[in-house]
Amino acid sequence: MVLLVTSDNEQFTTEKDIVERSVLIKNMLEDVGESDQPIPLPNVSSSVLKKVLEYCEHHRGEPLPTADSEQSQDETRKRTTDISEWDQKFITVDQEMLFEIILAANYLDIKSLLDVGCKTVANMIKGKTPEEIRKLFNIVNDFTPEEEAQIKKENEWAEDR
Amino acid sequence: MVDAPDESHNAKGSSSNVVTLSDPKTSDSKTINNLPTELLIEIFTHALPVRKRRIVSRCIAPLQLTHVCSRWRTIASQTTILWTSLDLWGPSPSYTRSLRIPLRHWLARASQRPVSLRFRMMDDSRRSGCAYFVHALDHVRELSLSMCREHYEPLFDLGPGSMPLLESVTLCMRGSRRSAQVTRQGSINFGSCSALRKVVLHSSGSHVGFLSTDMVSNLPMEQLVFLTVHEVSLHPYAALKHVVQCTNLEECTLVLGAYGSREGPFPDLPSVVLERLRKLDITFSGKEAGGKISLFFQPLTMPSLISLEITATMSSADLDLSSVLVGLHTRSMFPLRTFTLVNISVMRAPLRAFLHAVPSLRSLKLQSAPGSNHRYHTLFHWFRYDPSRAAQILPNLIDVFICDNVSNRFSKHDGHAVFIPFNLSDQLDDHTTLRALASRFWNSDNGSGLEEPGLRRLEKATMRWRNVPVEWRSLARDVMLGVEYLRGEGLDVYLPLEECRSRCVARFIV
Repeated sequence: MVLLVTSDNEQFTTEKDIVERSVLIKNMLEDVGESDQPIPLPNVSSSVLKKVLEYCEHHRGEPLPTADSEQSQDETRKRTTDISEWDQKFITVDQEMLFEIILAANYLDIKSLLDVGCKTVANMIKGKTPEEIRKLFNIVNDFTPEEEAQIKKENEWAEDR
Repeated sequence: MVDAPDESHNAKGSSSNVVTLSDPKTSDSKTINNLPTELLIEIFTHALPVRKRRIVSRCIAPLQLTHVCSRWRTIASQTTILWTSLDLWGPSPSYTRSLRIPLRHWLARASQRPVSLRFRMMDDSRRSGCAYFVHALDHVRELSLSMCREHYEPLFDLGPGSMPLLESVTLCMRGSRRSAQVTRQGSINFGSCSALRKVVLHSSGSHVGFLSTDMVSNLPMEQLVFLTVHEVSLHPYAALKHVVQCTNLEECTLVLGAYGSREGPFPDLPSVVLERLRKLDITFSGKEAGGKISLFFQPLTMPSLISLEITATMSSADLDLSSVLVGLHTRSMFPLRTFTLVNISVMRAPLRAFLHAVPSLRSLKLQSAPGSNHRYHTLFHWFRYDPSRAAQILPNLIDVFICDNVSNRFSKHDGHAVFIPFNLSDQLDDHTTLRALASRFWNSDNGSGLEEPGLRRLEKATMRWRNVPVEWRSLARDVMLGVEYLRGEGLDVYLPLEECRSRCVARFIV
């Protein structure tokens, strides 16, 4: 069993083969060896770690991507936005949690979870106008009127559909 | 951890241009702009369209991403991987104006990354299509163009080695007289394209052609893996001279002219072994009792061939073809899985010998030339499952399609074809064929067939009849209703499964 401590000081005890889906934790465990020492995760809150562990538990036993396969599948992976049914349900959370999960997956180095998060955000972007994207993600339009005019002119050759 | 796809254009490296990030550790509420640059790049990359699109849209990545806010604009503009594919395939007239600068901007954002470029230009455009991007061809990996001949002319100026990264090229030229207009002689030089593996040349109509008019030159045939040539103006012998050089070819699709029945034999070409060729699909413009294709195969040996399709666009009679195929198999001993013969009258006896020689065959399609009854279905008399036979014929066959024309030899009454509803199979002479097919639907759960090691069960069989007498049209509904019953004499008795029965159908195309 492995003991994890979150940024808000909550402790999680979990099985090794579950947490080893995180390359970061796997490497830490290899470095430390057999030890009862808790692993601090200062960048992950308890609510987010709970979700991350839920994901890792569901996908336990699945092969981890190797460096070679990762490289060869990179283009294909990026070109598809397919997300499995379970993953879709899992990632149906509010925006704040979604970005927290992406940050945690990146920090913990869980490639498949990072993919699910990024693909979900990408799917939210697809087919929307810039204005709709700003509204969806609460982004401030910080272009000056001159910049706006310049961009409009620059892209007037493209279709608006 | 995510790395920026292109270190030299990593938005992290130009953070002075980027809106300041909140610190992920201290921010109370996470928003998309709290994500570090490398994660936004990852999201942007996933936001690219999965399928090739016909237009560039302001609502589709990557252009869409540059309009949201200054941080997104900076990151998107500097992430070279977002700009490596440009599809201008739509018929929008807006593409024919003011494209030079937008294309330059787009390709500049891709920097030195290999790009995929698909560009279609209307015939009536005054500007020359290739002139927009000819400067960028040195880092094009995949090029697809569809234009009239005149718009290709800027490419004539390229010397060998101008497209060093090119792996795949598709050139289309439409067949109208306007499209074929020659304003300047020359050719597109593919010399020193050492990465080129896939070539598709498509020209419709008899006025235009890339190979037939030498509009492409120095294609590195020996290194091609995929070759498609659609040129009805190209004589099969001219095509063959190219194909025999393609010693690394794996898939080849040709749509050619035909050589006429009165033409003599081809001038000698050296025999060649196309060691890797797995799929060969030839369509030639057969004309009534005219075009032939059999000589095309004579210098070829193809030991890896698994799919062979030979089609005449109209009707053809090539009485040498089946013997040539027997010879081809004797030389090659290929493990053929799919064989298709469409609209060509051939000699049945050597065709049967050919089929007998390819036990690996899984899918067979025979469609007779329009007009007359070729009795292709009679090939299958010997095909019946026979438990007493040591080895079954075509033991791996799972899909059969036979299409023939109803014979003109119907009894006539007052000049009209007589339809005798209870005797249709007698008239079509298909009893034995249907019984033979039905016997291949054997099922181990049923007493009508025993499981035979090494014999696959037929999964799908279609008998299609064309040239149905006009008098039957008024009866079409009854015929369609009656077909199953009438055929039931031949089929229902033998087919053990309802599922198989419904698939083994006779279809009338009136």
